[in-house]
Amino acid sequence: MPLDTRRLTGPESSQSPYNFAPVNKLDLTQLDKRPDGRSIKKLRPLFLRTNVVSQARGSSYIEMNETKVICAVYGPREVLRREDFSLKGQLTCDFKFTTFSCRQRRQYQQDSQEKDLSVLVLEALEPAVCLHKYPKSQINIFITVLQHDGSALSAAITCASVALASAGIEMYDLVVASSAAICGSVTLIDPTAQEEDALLKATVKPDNNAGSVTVAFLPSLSQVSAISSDGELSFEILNKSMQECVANCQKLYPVLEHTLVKHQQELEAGRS
Amino acid sequence: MAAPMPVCIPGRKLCKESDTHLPGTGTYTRNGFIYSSLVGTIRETTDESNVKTISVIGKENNSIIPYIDAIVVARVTNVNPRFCKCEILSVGKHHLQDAFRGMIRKEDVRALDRDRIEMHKCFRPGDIIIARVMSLGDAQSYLLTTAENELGVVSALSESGK
Amino acid sequence: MFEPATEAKLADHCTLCVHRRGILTGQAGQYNHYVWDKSIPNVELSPLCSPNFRPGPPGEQAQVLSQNMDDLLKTSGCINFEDLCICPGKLSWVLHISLVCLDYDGNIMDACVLALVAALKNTCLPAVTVDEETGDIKTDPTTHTPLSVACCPVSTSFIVFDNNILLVDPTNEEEKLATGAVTVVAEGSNLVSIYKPGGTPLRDDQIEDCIDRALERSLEAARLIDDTLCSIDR
Repeated sequence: MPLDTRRLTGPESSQSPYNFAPVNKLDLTQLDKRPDGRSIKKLRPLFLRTNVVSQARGSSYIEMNETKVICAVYGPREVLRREDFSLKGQLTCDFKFTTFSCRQRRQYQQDSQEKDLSVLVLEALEPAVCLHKYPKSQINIFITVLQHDGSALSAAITCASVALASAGIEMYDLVVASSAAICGSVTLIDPTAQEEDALLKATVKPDNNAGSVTVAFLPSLSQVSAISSDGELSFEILNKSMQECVANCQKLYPVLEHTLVKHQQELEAGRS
Repeated sequence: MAAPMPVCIPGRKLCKESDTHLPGTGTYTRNGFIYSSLVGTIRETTDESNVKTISVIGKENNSIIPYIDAIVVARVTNVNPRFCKCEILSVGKHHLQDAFRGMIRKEDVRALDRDRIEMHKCFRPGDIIIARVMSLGDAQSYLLTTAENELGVVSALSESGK
Repeated sequence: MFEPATEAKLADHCTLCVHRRGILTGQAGQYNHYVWDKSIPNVELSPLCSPNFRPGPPGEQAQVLSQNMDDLLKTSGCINFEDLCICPGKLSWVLHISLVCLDYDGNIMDACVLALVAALKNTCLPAVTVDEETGDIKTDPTTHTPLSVACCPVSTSFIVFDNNILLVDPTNEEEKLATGAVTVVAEGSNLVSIYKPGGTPLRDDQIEDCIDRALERSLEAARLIDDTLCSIDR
């Protein structure tokens, strides 16, 4: 670990108190009811707001119970480095977990998981943005996860697409994402962090099916822009859970629509 | 107060594209239909020949960037014998949140008597100029020109800085 | 998730402050060495909150702010570092304090101090038991003891405009046009620190005016923090 001279660093040997706390084991295959009381097919309630960062061109905040993500969009602005030049517009994405967002303390520097998620968000959004309208410039998306309780990737994609739309960036469609965790024959929609953890730690992998799927969907064009799947899954199960995710995306779409319509009406009210 | 205008969001199908319905700003066409590409209100304009243009008006100052033939306001930052550099502050009526870099080459300063142009007699750093975008230029900056009667320095300080 | 968090919002400006507790294990005899390192504040001015910040390591402003927060914690005496000791010579709490700016619209210092103090007051430490013989550590996250916070320092920032006009609680735009700045940190009716980083020189009556206003505001802000904390159920 290289020494970070620009931050105040604490003693290296400190540990989280939760490391010493008793662990409740969660067996996903023997689940009658999920720890938060939802049924396995139920999504968490979604709260969305635009215009949360006054300095940004567009911004949004999403809350799915304990998962909280904030996103700001800046640009189109000039590309500073000569080697990044292209006549087509560019989209960049910076995904960051705050140090306190997860059960284990995270580092200040972007780690490989965060870099990976940045690329995934970017790939999900790029097909939806009319980049040819912004030659020689770049649009920057900054995503910060304030609290991570599962499905952070899908929350981030949804949040970023709303932020882009509220920034007045031309888009072919909004992007809605939804995720599912699969353990054996059980498909958990919109998993929490506890469930995601239990899946990773599951020692018995029945029928060799354990993994998670996130689908990003363009609802009014009915196209899938990105699929990310982890773990070992059989084709039939993957296909089935993907369809469930798409159906859930369509369920969430009216919330996005409502938020953006409200955003526009507030803007008009402020103007007149 | 007028009834609230219908608000649409990106991806909303607006109408069929035809000879009498054309796509305007803030829209795109796909499979013969006009779709909205912005969050905003729908506006229909009809011209003399009864052709309707459907456009979507988003928020003001709509993520605009310099485009070819646009009239821009810029501040001169750097002058040398071959060209001067400037930062573009606004495009048309819209103020830019982030400045873009622009460049005026010596031969584009004025239309007449091009051989005898001396850059430091035309511009000084800090001058506010009005210029037209000639081309998107290279990786670094947009190419601007002031070779028109209406274009050139509009605001400057005297040599003593007053 | 389980961390005490507060959000300070001054008009358009908000800062989120979260404390993450960690257990520090040191060997016997090293305890004293760590006394001053048991709270680690870091201010993050991410590119999310303003177009002026770029991704990458913290800039000068963030570094200065982190150091200011650290100085404030140690000099104001708002937490007694002895309280963080679990088992003398062996175990101690360490407070990782992250201050994340979500929307930068000027006067970051005041927002940081408010968020910091409110989060400290909201901090609860889970019960820890140490097995004397084996040295095993066990924590019980269901029982908490609140951290005792002795005092409530409040910072009030002013900018000097046009060499003689004083403005309190400046916005981002005002800060850019300012010719000087003063920050007064007060606790109740006591003064903790005054920070005036260069700029326009001020007359002593102007400084006194700043101090009076800061003292007045510190009482108000302290009351506001207490009211807010009362309204949270834990």
